[in-house]
Amino acid sequence: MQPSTTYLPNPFAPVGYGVNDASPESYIDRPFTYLYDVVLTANEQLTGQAVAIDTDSDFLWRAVLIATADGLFTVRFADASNYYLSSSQISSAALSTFGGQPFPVVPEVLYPAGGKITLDITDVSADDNTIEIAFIGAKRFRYR
Amino acid sequence: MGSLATMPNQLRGMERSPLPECYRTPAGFIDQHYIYAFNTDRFADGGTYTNLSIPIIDGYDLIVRRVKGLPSVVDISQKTGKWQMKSAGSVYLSNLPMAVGFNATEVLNEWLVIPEITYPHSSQIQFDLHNTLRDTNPGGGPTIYRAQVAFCGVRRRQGIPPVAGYNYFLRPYIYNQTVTITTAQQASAGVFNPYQSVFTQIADFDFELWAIQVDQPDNTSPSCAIVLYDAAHVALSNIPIIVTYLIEPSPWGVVLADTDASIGALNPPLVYPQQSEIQIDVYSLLQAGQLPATLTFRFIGAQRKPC
Repeated sequence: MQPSTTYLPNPFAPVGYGVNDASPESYIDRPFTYLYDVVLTANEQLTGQAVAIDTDSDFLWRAVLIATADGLFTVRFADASNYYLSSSQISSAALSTFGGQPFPVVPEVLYPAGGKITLDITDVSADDNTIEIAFIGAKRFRYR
Repeated sequence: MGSLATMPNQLRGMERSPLPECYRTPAGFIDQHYIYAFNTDRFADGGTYTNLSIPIIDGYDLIVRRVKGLPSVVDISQKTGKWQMKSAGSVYLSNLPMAVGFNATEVLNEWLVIPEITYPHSSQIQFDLHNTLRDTNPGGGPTIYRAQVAFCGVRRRQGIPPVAGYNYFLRPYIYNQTVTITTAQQASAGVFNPYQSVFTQIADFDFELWAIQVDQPDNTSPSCAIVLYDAAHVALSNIPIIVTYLIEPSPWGVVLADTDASIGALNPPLVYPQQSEIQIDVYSLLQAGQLPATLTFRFIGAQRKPC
């Protein structure tokens, strides 16, 4: 058996730049991002919005990023059983807009294949608001 | 399913272990820092290009961990400036193309690929670009494009991990290297000036290169592209990499300003034996009116001091 190489995390490197595979036995995780696009009119409120999870695999939601937005909005997410993950809607200003440092979702939230990510979203910019939210994580495939 | 203990959220950075876990390659394999990049100089602005590909042809597998340069290739002032990446099996890694410009001032400078993804030898990195717009040097003269997407990570090959053959302790050390760019990218339209090779001698002890920091006259504007070489003078990118792509995100809570000096980390570090040299080739991205330009490269790392 050949030895494996190990290297310590480089203190100059970003978090996540060289991390071990965390897939459980018999599973393999592949990076994947679900995007939610919406255009809100001034002060518009939408509830029960859904992002469909592909039927090929479960999805592990590990971070959220506001990929684009014209102005501030508030949002509340729910897990696969439609249980809200915050007591009320939270401001988009509290979430990351930097792709290198997305806002972590800890612990990760699992959405089963064919399920959906549900969210309520409200414009607070008092103007038209084109928004894209990135749900960053991994698809988990079973391979035996 | 595993427990939380076996499934750490790899994107989090707030809770760092006092003893961080080592990265472990598969048994019998060695990793080396590497970047595959793609220039869009020849693309028309305002176009949509799908199934762009970079062939992995150097005999190694490529492990991609982050993507840089997206704002330089699509229109970030329009929310239609988007990108989408595929796996080696040509499967999209997102359900839709993703916007690159958040608003007028913030852009997707960085995209982390977590978990990291492998592109085997002879496969290709594939991606789409929507509403392209090439970044150019705004100075007068021949058009100088600075439009490049870079896929950063490591290349992996079979082999036995090298050992130092002696006991040592690590001592922090920095090599300073000043580079003065005295030629424009093009002598005249379409006639390119040669690059300059810069060598930094490794003195006294073997050296582990952990990061490269670059000070430019204007840190918001790339003045050159570089090729970094390992101790055997093997290039560590397929084409010259725009120097500002060296900038890294920081751990949570620390955001570097655009004007900060770029720091590029190498993971794993490169080892340069004593009496070897760090070679970089410097390709000017400047106009004649922007010369001369002096850059300072800092090769940050540690010496292996025998004990």
